[in-house]
Amino acid sequence: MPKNLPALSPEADPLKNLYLKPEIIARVERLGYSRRGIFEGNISGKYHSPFRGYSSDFHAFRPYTQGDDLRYLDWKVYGRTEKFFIKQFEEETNMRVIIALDCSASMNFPKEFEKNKLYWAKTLASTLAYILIKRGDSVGFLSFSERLISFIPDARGSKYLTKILSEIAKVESSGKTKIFNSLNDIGPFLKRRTLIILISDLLSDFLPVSKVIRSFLKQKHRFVVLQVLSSLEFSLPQGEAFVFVDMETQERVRIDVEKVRTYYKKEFEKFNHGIEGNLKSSGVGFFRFNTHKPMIREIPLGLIKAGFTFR
Amino acid sequence: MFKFLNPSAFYFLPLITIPILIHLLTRKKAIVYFFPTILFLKKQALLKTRQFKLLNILLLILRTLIVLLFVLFFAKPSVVFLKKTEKGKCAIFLDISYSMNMRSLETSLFKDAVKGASEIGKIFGFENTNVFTFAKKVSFLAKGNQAFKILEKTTPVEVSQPCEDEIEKIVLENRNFTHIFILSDFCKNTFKRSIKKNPEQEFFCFKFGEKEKNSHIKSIKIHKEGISAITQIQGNKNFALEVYLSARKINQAAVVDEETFLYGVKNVKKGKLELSPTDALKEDNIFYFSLPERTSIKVFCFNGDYSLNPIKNETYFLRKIFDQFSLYELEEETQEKIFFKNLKKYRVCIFTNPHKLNQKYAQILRNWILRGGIVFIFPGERTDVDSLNNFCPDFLPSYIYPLKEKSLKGMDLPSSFWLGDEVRGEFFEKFKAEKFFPVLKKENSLSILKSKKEDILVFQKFGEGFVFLFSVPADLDFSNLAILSGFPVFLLKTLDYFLWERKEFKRNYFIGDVAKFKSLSSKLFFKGHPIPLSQEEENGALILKAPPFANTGFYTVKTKDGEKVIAVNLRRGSENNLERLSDSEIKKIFDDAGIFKIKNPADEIPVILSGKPVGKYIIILILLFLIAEVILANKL
Repeated sequence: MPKNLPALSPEADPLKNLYLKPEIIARVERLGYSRRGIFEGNISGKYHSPFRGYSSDFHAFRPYTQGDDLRYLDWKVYGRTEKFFIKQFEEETNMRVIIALDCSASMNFPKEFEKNKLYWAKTLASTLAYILIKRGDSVGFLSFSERLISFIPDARGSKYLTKILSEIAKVESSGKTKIFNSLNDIGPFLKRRTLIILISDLLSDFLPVSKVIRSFLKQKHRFVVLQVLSSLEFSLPQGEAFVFVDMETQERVRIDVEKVRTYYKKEFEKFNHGIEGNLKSSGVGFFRFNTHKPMIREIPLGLIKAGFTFR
Repeated sequence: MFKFLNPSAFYFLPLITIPILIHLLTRKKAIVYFFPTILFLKKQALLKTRQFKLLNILLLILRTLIVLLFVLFFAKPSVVFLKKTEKGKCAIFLDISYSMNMRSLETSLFKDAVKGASEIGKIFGFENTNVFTFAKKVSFLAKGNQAFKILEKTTPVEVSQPCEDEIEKIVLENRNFTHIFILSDFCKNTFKRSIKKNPEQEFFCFKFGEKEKNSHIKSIKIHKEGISAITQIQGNKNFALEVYLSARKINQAAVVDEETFLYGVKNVKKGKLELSPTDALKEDNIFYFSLPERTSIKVFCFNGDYSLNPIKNETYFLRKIFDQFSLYELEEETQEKIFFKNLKKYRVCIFTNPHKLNQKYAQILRNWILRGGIVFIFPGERTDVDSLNNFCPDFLPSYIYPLKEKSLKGMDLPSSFWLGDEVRGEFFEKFKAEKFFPVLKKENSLSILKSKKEDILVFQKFGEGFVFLFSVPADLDFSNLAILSGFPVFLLKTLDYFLWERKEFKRNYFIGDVAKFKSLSSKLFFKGHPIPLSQEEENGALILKAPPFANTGFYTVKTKDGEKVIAVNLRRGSENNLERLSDSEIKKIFDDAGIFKIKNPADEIPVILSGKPVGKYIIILILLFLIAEVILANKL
């Protein structure tokens, strides 16, 4: 464990460490971690950088063009071919990551703390922030509902981890889910290639969201979407007469649950299938967490399935 | 309007709050459930919730209605058709025209109507019930029970004639008649115009019977060789005409045309013709007849323009007419001298195209007419009108002008009293004349046929005889009168009347007619029962007068000279066509009247007057609502 990282014991600082689960982190660490793919970092690190730089690992030759540093001219090749070739090296870099946490009102469901979506999302965000910073990656954080609520640009070091964990702990649910707006808001801050980890229940119109994600992908950013849902959302509660109150809009609808159960289940599944299909077809890592499953098993498994690899 | 026989049941009306209370108490309490999003629920939920709410409201309404209907059922509601439920005095106008004789099963419309009237009497109280009858005229029968006793013995035999004036007068003058009931079959000719009433009065029309096809015998003719009958057939049934002598059928023939001949019925003096099978009105399928013994009569005819061309011959069409009817024989003479010499041997003569009458011949003719001769004069192109005007000013029914060229078309319906229904207006519709002798009718003469404003035939009694003057000829020279279908019938009916019926003892009557006997020793019997005759003075002489004939059949008149038979028939006319007035037509006549078709008066009239219980309908409704309630409750 790197120095200066916050203690994992909840008793030490309940506010900061409530969402850091040592057993989960231990499990993730035991497996080791590496993200498949190429990331652009601001230091030389553990990941392959797409920028052909000047490092020790040879990558390829390319013909010399005016302005190239003559230091990297391969004279041996010149000797054999009488042509100028510049040697290219693979630059080792760290990873830029932005953890985007949905804190709309719908995330505060169900009321049961252990199964609360926001609690899960916070735990996921904290775990990821901890592991990524510990691995030397540059991690930023943002929370959003209708708009961006808080934003911490990516940086490295334990200081940032404390800052991020403290920000995560402060997040409270409110407002409507407007992922589209929030992603648009962070666009200008992403100067270099970044891995954006979106943690949300995605309960909003997904079409504009998918459009934004595609535009991000075009800009060579990468996405991992971690959807957090409760079992209670898949199947409606038992009983007959209910007044359903929309947690985001406060809209009320009187419902005989038995009459609409099948219809709702079908519609909800269709919606989720749509999201999953859309994201997977765009090459976005995706996993749906069920808050009613044991967190200790679900989070490592989810991260693997979302495309993270543990070595 | 509803009336409740047990209004105390309405004390239970608050019971309708029970389903409302149950509904309110058993309303499912909805649990408020905060849910991340109702995005996937909204559409379906709203739809289902609306259905749910609707079903719930429907169920509540149904249950409330069921309780309400139960309360209503026990309140014993009945529909009352009277606008003024307070029953004052009532007037019953009962149709006694013979179309009311129409039979249905064992009863007749008239019996049904009497039964209906008695039901009205029971409800209004007999002392408050005034019974009138109407057919030919309106007559007050009696009050209450007494009236029904008279009605029991009445047979409807009269022919309907519009009597709105009389009914209206009675209705308007008797304001205390709060309810006025018209019990009739409402045949087409019964009422023609609307009848006024006082505002506080109410009309009720009770319709008896349905529109029926009714065939009947209109009239009969006696020929040398037999009898012919004019029938009116309605529908496609095959009819036969049968002749009965007493109860013995002596001949029959199928009815294929308007007129049917029955040969071999010679010298029949008394009998009846029957059109079989009988239909709705049995009475008009029978025609009783009583006839004197007749020998054929010779009609002496002067042909003023003899021609070998039959069409050009003045008497060609006259001969054709008389050839068909063997009771008359036409004897023709072209020589004036011989004609006037032999005239005294005849009772009737026809003058066609007379040339120039001189004083001598005019005098012979005058004397002959004065003694009872009947003459028909058809002027022709050769006729000297001046000699006619000059020598016969007294016995000619009109002044006759020279031939005038003016075209005439169509002819008015002849309305002479001796012509029955057989001579119809349409028989003369096609009349045309290019020229004619304009006539100026004298004061005592009668115009019989008219085209536009011109007289075609004028008639006058002179002494014991009669003179008929036509303004067109008997051939087709400038008029088509001779070939019109009405001409032969007119001629023969006129001869029949003036030669026989007028003079002799009248043997054929219709119901309602009054017979008068010159012989004071006359006695009248019907089926062996004597009918009282009253003495009366007529034209300075005492005569015996019989009451109006009330039955069809044969009456016997016994005098010193022997026994004579009178045949009485139902009058033929529009009564025989059982066409009914529609409800809307009745409504126009009896303003704002309640119109009820009555089939079973004993059951239906009390319901109309006292109210119709609707309990069974309420039970059906309750059952239907209960079924609906079960279905809806299952749906919820």
